[in-house]
Amino acid sequence: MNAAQIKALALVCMLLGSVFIIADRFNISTDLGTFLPDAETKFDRLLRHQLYSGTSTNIILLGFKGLPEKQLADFNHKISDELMKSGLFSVVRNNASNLDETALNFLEENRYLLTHNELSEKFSVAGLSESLQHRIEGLSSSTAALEKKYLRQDPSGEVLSLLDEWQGKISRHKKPIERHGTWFSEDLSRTLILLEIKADVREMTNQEEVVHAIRDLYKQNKVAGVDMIMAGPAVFAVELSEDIKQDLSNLTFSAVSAVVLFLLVVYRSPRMVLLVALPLLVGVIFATAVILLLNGQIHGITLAFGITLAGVAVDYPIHLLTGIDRRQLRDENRIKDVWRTLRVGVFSTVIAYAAFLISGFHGLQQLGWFTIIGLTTAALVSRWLLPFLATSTNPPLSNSAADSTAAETNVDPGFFHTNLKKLAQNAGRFRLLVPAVLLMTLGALVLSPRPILHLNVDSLSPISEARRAEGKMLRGDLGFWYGGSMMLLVAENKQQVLLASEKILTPLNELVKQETIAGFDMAAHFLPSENRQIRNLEAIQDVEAIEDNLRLALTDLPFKPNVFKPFLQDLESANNLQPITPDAPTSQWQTLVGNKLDSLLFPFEAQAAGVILLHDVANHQAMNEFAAQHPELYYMHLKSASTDLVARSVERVFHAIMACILIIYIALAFAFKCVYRPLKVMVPTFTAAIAVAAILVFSGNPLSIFHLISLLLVIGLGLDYSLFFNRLPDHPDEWNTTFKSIWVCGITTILVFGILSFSTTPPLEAIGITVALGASLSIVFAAMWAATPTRHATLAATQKP
Amino acid sequence: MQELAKVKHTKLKFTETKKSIFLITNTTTKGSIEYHAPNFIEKNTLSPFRERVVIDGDNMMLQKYRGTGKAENTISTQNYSVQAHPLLQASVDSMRQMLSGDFAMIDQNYEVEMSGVRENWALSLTPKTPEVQEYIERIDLTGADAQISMVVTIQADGDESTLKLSAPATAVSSLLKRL
Repeated sequence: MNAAQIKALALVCMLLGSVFIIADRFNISTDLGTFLPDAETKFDRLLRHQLYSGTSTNIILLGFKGLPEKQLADFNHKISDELMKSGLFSVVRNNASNLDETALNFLEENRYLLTHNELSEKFSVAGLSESLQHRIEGLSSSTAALEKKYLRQDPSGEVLSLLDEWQGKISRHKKPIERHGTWFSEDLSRTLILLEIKADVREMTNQEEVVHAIRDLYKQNKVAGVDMIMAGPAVFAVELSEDIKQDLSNLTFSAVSAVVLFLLVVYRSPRMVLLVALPLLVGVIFATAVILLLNGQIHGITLAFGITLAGVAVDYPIHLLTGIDRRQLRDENRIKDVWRTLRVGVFSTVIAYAAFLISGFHGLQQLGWFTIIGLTTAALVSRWLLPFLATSTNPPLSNSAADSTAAETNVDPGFFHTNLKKLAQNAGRFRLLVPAVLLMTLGALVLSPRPILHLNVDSLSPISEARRAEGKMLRGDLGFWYGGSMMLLVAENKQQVLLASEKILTPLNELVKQETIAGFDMAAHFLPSENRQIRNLEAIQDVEAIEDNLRLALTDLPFKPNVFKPFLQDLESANNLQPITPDAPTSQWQTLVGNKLDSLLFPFEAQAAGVILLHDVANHQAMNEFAAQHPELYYMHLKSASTDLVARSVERVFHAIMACILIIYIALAFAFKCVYRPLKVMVPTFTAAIAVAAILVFSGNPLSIFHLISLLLVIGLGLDYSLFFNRLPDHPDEWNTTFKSIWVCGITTILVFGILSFSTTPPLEAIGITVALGASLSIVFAAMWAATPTRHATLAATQKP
Repeated sequence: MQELAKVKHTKLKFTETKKSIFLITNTTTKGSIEYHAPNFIEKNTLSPFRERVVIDGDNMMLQKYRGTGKAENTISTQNYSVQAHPLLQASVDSMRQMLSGDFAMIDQNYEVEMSGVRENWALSLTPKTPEVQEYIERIDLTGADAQISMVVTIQADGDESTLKLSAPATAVSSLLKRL
């Protein structure tokens, strides 16, 4: 066997091996956290934690509207029952659900531990006196029933103030309106349900199961006129994934059909179409296998995006096979010749994608590896495997000479090709347009006040404005925290966090009084620090002293004697109370607190962190200053902080791309052993990329990370076209072969990405437009610039009939 | 009763005296009550402390205040669903049924004993349903013509509330005009 055959065989073995690996280990990851930018500083890591697994990621809000109040309430109750029965939710709430007996008892029994008050003050003579006045008032007011329940054992009203804190509230900010036993929006047009998903929401399949279940239940129980609004991170994620899947299947089908049709028209040979498809398929299979081997799983987005590489990978077989005379194939000279140019192109593209590997986006890294391996494999398969397959069967040649020429080559000097050729050959006259456009667009971008980069984190997770607004509306109805402002406290452990939070309670309350913020939630509201609890326990040690104080306070007050005996008895048994800690195993504490504490107080790296949710921040600067005054206190406004993070990451990607472009230039200089020629090749590509960027920016679309990824793709493709156009001055006979392969590649790319640009999902749309435009411009500019000789030579010499 | 049924809107002053099993003396509050048919009741307590309760259909809003006049501050506003609080439901229903003269409902839910004459009548209501019996033992009303002058609610746990109602001067004359 000769070297070529060995290489071909090796590729086949690789293919088979890959198929085995995939069959064995196929595992698509849908972990959404992979595509968040990596974090460097502690602040960044806290941010990542909040974005990814922070407050309320497992919460779903439902709103129903379109019916009169009472009917909405009935509908709400019915759906809530069904949702409860489904078993998918740990919480299904549609009203202020008064705490159940167990919870109320627990609250009552542990009131001296959980209270915010300083019991030493409360049980002084003055303190008791004041409390007793309040109790008398309470008895004569409309809340007499509630007062009576706790009066005897709790004259200082600890339970009442705890109930205020704990009962029926989602946040301390606002208590939603209730009618007919269910929550309503303020204008009474919507009734609301709050759900907490039981399963781990980081798995896409769990989210899908839940969202589908809700939709099904709604459909089964729907009455005429009612409308449902769903909101929540899980809901948005599922909708997004559905949109993308829908899009992709529609678009993939159209794109594949379009390309197949096109290739059939050009080559008039179904076999040719298969040959073109083969390297791409092998490339994808092999890349998938490698990633599965190394990572154990491949991310859905990597797979989806990686397949758009179809646009690039089909170019390789087209270049190699177009214009190849079947007899020439056996000669292999043409193949070697084309391969020399092609591999430079592949190499440059690989370097360009290496930018992903150093970008700092973990998801992009996987994408980068997938692309590099896929493209390299496709190239190798095109070079070493295709020639065997293209010649292995010999279709019968017709007898006539004219026919035989046509049958033996697949070069058809058709109408289309001839005219394109004319256009391209004349394009060189406009070659100065290329540097002109470059300077103009570069200048316009640099000088314009418009933002070039889209740094909003929304660009990473494109939920439509309308849906986002609905989510905000439902959160507002329920008094849910929204607005994205919070403070984070980091300390050695959870107790230290609680202590630190308590220290800033007073200044925070000041801020509320000054109306800098409307309110705040923190873990310490529900669970006082151990220090505080112990302090209160100590304050109630001396029962006799308290009894004396009580007697004094009762003078002149109309209470019957012995009313407060239960109070004193409870104080005696309070000696047995143990402080409640955040990780207390008692199930009663768990029922009472539910998930409330988990998102407000959690372990973080080797320490612990606490979240202070802020409502309606009026002055961000003031909050920044406030945070700066306390150690390990961070003010985080999710939107601006994540924008910042994305900005830094995008900048890194940008710089990485710049660096890679430089490396490409150096590589090309080595390959051509010339300093000018790489410029000839790179200038039109670069110009096309900048021009596309300018078109995007000036049409109101600042560049998101997806646009940047696409520009990289454009550079990869553009270099390809440039390199091949650059052959033409030295090989004028190739206007019938190489040039044809260029425009065939170009059109397939424009077809694929043009169709993608019709997607309704912004990322796919962005990729589609950018690459379609970019590829078109690359070809045009390459025709103008790269196709002209490096040294002055008349065009006449290059033209041939 | 039929007279009462004609009442669409009343505004009354009240003095409520409460007897509590915990207190030696009674507590007294004063304020105003406003009623709009069919189910809007607003009770404003003015002395000795400020409190406002508005019951509108299923919703009860409770506002507590501190301070007086210009220094008055709302210290809390709570909203309750009447349906979700049985005792509240019982009191509100009985009050509303009485104020609107809904004889049919009252007859359904209470044993009714009537005595006296039109100018000076007395009504004694004993709850029939166990849900209400849990909280209320009996309600005694007295009144003249179309106006309720006193409501005594005797609660199951021994507490008592005596509500004396008097129409402000203008209201009385408008009532008289209707008779």
